[in-house]
Amino acid sequence: MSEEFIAASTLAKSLEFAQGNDFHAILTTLRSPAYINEQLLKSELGFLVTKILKLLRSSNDFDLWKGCHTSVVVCAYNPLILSAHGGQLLAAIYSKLEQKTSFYSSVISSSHGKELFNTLVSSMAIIIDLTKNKPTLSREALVPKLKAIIPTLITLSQYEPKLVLPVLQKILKRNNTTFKPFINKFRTVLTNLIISDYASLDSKTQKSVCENFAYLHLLKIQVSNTNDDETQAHHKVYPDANWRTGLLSILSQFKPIIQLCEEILDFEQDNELQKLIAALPVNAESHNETEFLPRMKLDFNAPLSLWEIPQRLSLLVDMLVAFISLPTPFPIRVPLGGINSLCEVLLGVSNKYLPLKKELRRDNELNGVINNILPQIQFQGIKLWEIIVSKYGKCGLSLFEGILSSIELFIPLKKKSNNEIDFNVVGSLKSEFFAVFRLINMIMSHLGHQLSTVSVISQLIDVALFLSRDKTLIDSLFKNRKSNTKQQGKTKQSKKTKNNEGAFSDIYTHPELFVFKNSMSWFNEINEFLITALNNWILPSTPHIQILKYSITQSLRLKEKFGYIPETFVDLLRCEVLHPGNERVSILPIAISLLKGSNDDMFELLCHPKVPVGMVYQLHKPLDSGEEEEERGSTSESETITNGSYPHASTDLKTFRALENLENVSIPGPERAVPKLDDETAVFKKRTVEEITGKESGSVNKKVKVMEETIVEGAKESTTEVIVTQTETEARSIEDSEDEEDDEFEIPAIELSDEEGGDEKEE
Amino acid sequence: MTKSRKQKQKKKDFLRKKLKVGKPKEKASNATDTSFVSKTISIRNQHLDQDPHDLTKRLTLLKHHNINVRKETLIKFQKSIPSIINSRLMTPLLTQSIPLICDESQQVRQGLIDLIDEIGSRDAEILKLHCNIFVLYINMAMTHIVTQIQADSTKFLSHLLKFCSDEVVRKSWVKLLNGVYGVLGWGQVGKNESASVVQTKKRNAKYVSIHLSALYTLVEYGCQDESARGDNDAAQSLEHTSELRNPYLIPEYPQPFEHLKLFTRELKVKDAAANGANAALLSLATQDIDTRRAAFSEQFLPIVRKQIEIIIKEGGECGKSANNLKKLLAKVFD
Repeated sequence: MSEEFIAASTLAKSLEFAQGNDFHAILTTLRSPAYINEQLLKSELGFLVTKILKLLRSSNDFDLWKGCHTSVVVCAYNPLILSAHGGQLLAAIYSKLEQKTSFYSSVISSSHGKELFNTLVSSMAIIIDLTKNKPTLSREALVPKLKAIIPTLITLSQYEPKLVLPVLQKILKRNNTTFKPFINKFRTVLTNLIISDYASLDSKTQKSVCENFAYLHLLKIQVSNTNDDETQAHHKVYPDANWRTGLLSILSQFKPIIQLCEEILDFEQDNELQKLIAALPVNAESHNETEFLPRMKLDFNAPLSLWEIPQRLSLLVDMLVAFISLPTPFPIRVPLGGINSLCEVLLGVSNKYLPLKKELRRDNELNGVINNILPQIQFQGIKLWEIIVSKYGKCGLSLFEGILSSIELFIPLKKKSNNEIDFNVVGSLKSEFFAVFRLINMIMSHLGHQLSTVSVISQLIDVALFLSRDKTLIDSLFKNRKSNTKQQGKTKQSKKTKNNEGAFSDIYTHPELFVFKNSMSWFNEINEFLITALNNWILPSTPHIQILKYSITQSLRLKEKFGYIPETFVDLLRCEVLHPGNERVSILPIAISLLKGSNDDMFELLCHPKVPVGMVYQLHKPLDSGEEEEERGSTSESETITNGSYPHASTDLKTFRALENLENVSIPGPERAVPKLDDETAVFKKRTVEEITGKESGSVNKKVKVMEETIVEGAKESTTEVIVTQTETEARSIEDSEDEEDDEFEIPAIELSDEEGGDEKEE
Repeated sequence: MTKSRKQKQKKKDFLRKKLKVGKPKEKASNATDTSFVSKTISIRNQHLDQDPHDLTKRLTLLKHHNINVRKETLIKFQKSIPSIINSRLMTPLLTQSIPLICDESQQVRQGLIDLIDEIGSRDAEILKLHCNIFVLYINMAMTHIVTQIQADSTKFLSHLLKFCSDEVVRKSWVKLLNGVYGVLGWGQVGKNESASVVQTKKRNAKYVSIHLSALYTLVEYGCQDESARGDNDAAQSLEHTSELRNPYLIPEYPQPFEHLKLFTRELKVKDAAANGANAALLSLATQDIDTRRAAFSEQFLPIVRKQIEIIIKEGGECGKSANNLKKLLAKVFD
């Protein structure tokens, strides 16, 4: 063993004082497989671990930080250390974490407090991840410690939900029996988070709060089983009983909120909707635990309080989503139909077809708020559907048509007009429409051209194209300005306005800088939608032309910006070329000049169409062996004829023969024979057309094809005549070589036919 | 000593020369001699009338104030069309002569029609290329204050439709329909009641029948595909269909991508609500039959049905063409 590595003990010593780059170097060295050596374990590695433990136990925060990272690296890359000392290291980190958690406020107030917690939690999570699933290790090192770790983490999760919740979620999913004693504590923490701080969390944390809440329902199964078993043994107990009660309790909370909307909109106009609402699932036995959410306080006199409706719905949807989308160790029963009808109801809450309640119509402020919250309520339904379709895919195939027709309700229309889209409202609902397009794309990939309702699609295309334009913020400003100046006329306000103009000068001189631009992810989604639309339907010319224009201008713009055209735009251009719709000309030339640099196979093929090479040979494939014999005769004859035609060729005879030999090699026997006739006669004809001016010779040649073998001689003569005429017409001095040519042309005629006869016999 | 000489020289430089009467002014020391002497002057081909056949000179005559000159010029051009049809003179010729659609003299307008016919029968592609200007001026004529010009506008339209029907209906379907309706006095745009009243009073049977036939051809080309249009040019229609099936070949007509409006700056419609449904219709791209048909049946069909009945009852020449139109409408839309 040539061991040229630094001894672990040396590294361990330098670890204590290492900083910056040195520390990096040590960590990289420690990853070396040379240290996975049992002989080293007791002496060197033991020393290393004691050093790390010393770092972990030190009161210096930087040392602690170093210790955490070193232990993670060592455990991850060295299975020996992991199995021998993993538990020890974990315990050391945990005890530090516990200690720091108890002094949370003082630790967090220091400049690096947050980073320290981050390091401690993440390195602990990594070591836990490394130890679990390894039976002995997890039984001896992990599980006993979890009982101590979990309460600490739960305490910490109140302060640092973003950091801790993912770790807890993992533990909860895997070791739910160990978790059982702490369920109630964790539940109170989570409900606290949901009730008070939910809106102030970022969306990722919100998601993990909901997911943790859902995972709480993994646990109680056995408890309920033991209770029920004695009295109701005959009932089949599903493994997801507890999960389902959790899910249903969330689902049942929607109905009362929707019934609240009845105070805003006149539901009595729509019987179908009323039926749907009545059929929404309700929880008959109201558990205490389900009603942890506080009651809403709505007041028509304080219109802003109405915003609580969509907020609450959004929270419920988030929780429902967690229940129906999380992976569980057992199969779960999801009430798809109920959720679907819930979504339908949510989308039905719209003032598109339903009038407002009469008594509300006068209050402008209130109406403004209502107009704003209704799309948000509808959007909750879309959010839910998006998850269902993405998670359950084709299981919801029967729902898709209904979803599409409900989406139509989401598109805002101008009041008192026939189906004109209100683009002002559309502009303010951009992120919501982003979700709509994601949903539509998922649905359309399943449905395709089977879809009969194209009206939604054309409306959505309008919306998509409108939203894909850059949105200027100052249009309305100019409108207002003009009307203002008209009204003011020549009043004294000139001085004041001057001051304003100074501040506004940028708006007037560079209006193009005050725009919202679209993100690439938006373009990708829209392009996918447009591609499916173009693929499946022939659109009327107005949207079609608009799509063409959009794709061309945007791809040109993006090409200038990035130097290349993004992939989805290339796909869209392809699709437009392949589906020209009602256009008289496809935009092929434009697309190609846009994609000049890139080697696009499809456009290459469209520009240089080729017939597949093998096609010609398979055309006249002989069917029976009996026919084959006949054809052999004819082929040998035809080949002599074609050989006879060689002298017509201005190309060198030898090279031609060589070429033919090549062909012979590459083409299988029976297939070769017949097509050759085709091929060669074609050559024959071509030559005659090119070089022989007299019509007679052409007719003679035509005869040759039909003639029997005995006449071949005559045919040869005729061809020699032709040669003579040719030599006469051409200025070249072929006279000298005429004799040679004659010689040459006879010899190959015999040779080739002989050869080929031989070949065929062999085959 | 040297000093004083230098000083003298300096002084000399600044001395002012006195100008004297009768003596020429002295030239500056740095003046360049530009005088030259030559024994012969050769002038290459002095032709005052450079080329009697140069038609470019005659283009301006199309704007001549004298009616006869304009008419003569048009006839002159018409005669020389066969020789210049493939020259680059055609574009200036058309851009200069098309405005004569609104010419006040009937003879000039007739001359223009003949010229258009001549060009169209030689090479319809040239007309297709200038389709936009045509439509612009025809529209102008359709709303012209002089009734005669207004009345003649549909003649131009029907002659144009003869040669480049497809282009016209694709590009400006709604616009032209609006125009024809205005001429017929069924106007919608602007509710020009008084004008239409004048029209109905002065309704000349001859003109109405011309208008109606123009409308007939417009609808025929706009709402019917080639196969349904009839057998009078079956061979041509076959050609057309094969053209339609090959959107990947090089197109045989000018400006194939013009309708995409890639390089035109579109005017912002400031307040779409003000113009109502018509604004939406005008911004509609009417490249395909279905859209044209939908636009027609939505906006124009009810009016035409109502008015036709009245005209048919009146009978005569107009009644006949109105009846034709009615049959066509029944064929297309029922």
